[in-house]
Amino acid sequence: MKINSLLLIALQSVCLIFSGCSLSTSSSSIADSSESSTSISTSINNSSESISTSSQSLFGKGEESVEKVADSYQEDISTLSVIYVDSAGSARDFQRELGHISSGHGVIDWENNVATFKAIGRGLRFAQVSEDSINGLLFLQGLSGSPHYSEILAGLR
Amino acid sequence: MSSRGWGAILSLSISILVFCGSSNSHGSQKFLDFIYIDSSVDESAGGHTALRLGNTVFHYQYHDDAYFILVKDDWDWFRYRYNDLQNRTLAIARLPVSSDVFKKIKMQFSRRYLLQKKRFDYLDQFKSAEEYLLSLSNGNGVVPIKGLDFFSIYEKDDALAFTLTRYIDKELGSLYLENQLHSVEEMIKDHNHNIQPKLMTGIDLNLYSPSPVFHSRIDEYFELSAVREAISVLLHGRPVLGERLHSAPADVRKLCDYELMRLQHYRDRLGLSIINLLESSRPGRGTALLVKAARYQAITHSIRKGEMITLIPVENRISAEMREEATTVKIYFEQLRLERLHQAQGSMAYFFSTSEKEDIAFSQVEKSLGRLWQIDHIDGSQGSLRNRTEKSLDTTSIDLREILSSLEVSRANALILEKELLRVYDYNLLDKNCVTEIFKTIYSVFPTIDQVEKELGGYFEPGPYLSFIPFRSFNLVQQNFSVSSVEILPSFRKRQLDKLYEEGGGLPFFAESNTLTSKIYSAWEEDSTFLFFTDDKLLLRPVLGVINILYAAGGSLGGIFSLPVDDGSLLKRSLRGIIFSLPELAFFNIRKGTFPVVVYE
Repeated sequence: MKINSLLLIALQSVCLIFSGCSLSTSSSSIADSSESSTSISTSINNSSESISTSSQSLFGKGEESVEKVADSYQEDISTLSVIYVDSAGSARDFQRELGHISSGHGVIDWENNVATFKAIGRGLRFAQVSEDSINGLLFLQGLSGSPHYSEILAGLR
Repeated sequence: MSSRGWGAILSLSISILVFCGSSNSHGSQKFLDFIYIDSSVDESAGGHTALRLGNTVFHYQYHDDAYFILVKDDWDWFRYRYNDLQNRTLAIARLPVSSDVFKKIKMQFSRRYLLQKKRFDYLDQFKSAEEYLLSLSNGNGVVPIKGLDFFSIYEKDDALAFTLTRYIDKELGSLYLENQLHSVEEMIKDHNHNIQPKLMTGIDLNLYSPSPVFHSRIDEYFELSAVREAISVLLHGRPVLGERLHSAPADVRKLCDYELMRLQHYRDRLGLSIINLLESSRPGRGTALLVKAARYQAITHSIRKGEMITLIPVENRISAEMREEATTVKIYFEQLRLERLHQAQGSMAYFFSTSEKEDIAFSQVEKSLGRLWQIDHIDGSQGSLRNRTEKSLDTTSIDLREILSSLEVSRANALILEKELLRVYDYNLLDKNCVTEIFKTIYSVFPTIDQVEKELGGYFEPGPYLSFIPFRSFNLVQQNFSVSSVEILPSFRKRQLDKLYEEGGGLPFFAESNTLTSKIYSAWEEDSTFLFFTDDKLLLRPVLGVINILYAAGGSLGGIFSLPVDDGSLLKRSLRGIIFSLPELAFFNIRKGTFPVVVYE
């Protein structure tokens, strides 16, 4: 019994040496210091900051960085829509979260951004929501007949 | 990880591709890219595991505050951070999957990530409410309003700020703003009478299922206050503070006629968007209005002066820690400035060339110039940002007893949520670590193990038989799944060494074997004290380990004497040096030395 316990402790010690998931921040502390934050949600927001310079043209890099942010924004909006298909969240709750996500990506005015609604449509397509049942979704209530509705349909199709 | 470990990885690989860039897609074929990151000092002694899906990398990290959370990174940034800055070799095993499976797995990770983010946002919200109620109970209520800190509290009737006010008057009528302000103030009065939050009960969070919405009347009150302040800023022509405006450095400052025209066009779009926001009733519009109004003013300044002037985001505030680092590793900051300058030039070039995605494109310009400003002001010689994001509030309409009882409920809610988050996002070395969670998340997409085997071509249980250890799990991936290739991305130092060997034969072997004569590596204070690099010398490792221990022990002695001068810095580095040399006696290498000054390519 004692030997077993000792073996277990020894095994756990070895495991401790060989398994670890947190970042060693020693070499990245300065690189990240401009984004450092005590808030965990902020650190999640900021985890993909990047600095770019390369042999590629500066324009290309500028474009690439905008495209990356735009793609990531749309992916998050689609995911949010999928989550809301499964939830009983209201349109206002959904809009509030849209606001949080969009400001994190530099989109201040999601309401006037076509990409927002197309991404919602793509989320609905992933969640296998049919065109007929969109009106039944609590979080999209009030959209029927608006220009945004057709943008959602465009993403869904 | 030892060279033997790498040998094990390689022996199992179907084909080995030497690093030749970050190609992570082959046409339309989709891959699950399992990444093994070589060991490093501190908590990363066992290596790390991540999953790349297209250009996005998902991995799990343990945070100081005991949360074990999913992190989402851009691949280029992830590689730069681990492969270059941290000098760690990466191995990537590629598993081809159908497009449908790829989408489902990516959605599952994104879903978990977004739910997690939302829940921590809720916790922040609860804490803000608690702070607000505490300030109210002290008779000095302050409401946190994002975006308000751009504007002057005292100045108003500013001629430049009125440019926007006049535009709004023209579009919506001269009494519009005044009427809006009145109506919002009425709504605030109604809210003032009932801000009592509800106590949360029966909260039971799940990693993938939507959580209940934790939105209180205090949050709605904050939102209304933000709208009121935004309208007040517009109505009274309050200017953006000079300290929040950044005149771009000479390298990128001057604007040509075409660029001025583009800015004018973007400002017109902003104006229209502000009109839409004023007429909207969506939540969060107060902060959006404040940010847009501040941006509108900055662009008006730019147009008038013919040079690029942008807002300085509050995230660019310079910490005391950064100032200290700037003096100790000056060369790094020179390099960083150049990188940020290039980034600013790139984002400006893109913004001025197209009207596509211009909101995001302009945010990138603002962000990159803000980061450049940060570097240019790091020595503290040219002013700094003050921390002022709050707005005073009249407390007279709220009864103190109600405030205190609301405070109690709010505190209880924060504690309940915090406890639940710690339960859901907890860490366990053996069955809930960076390896096990990657696989559990992938498997959670499929209803049965049979389905996993069908779609992924194999299965192994994460956890047992040491599979929770990153390098072991990487071997298991290759044994159990139909991996099409294994790509090795040598660490930064190894890549530099290869270049030197190509140029100078065997000579670099001696010069680059130690920290004193190496031209590639410069010892810096974040690294522990050591003399010999042992990651590329398996047979000599125990001998070099002994020398490293003796060298670090000598450093410790020196550290004791230099204690009064360096605040224990050398002693700490040397003691860590002894600890991280010990595994070398048993043929294991953990420490590689890190490289803070590497250009991001």
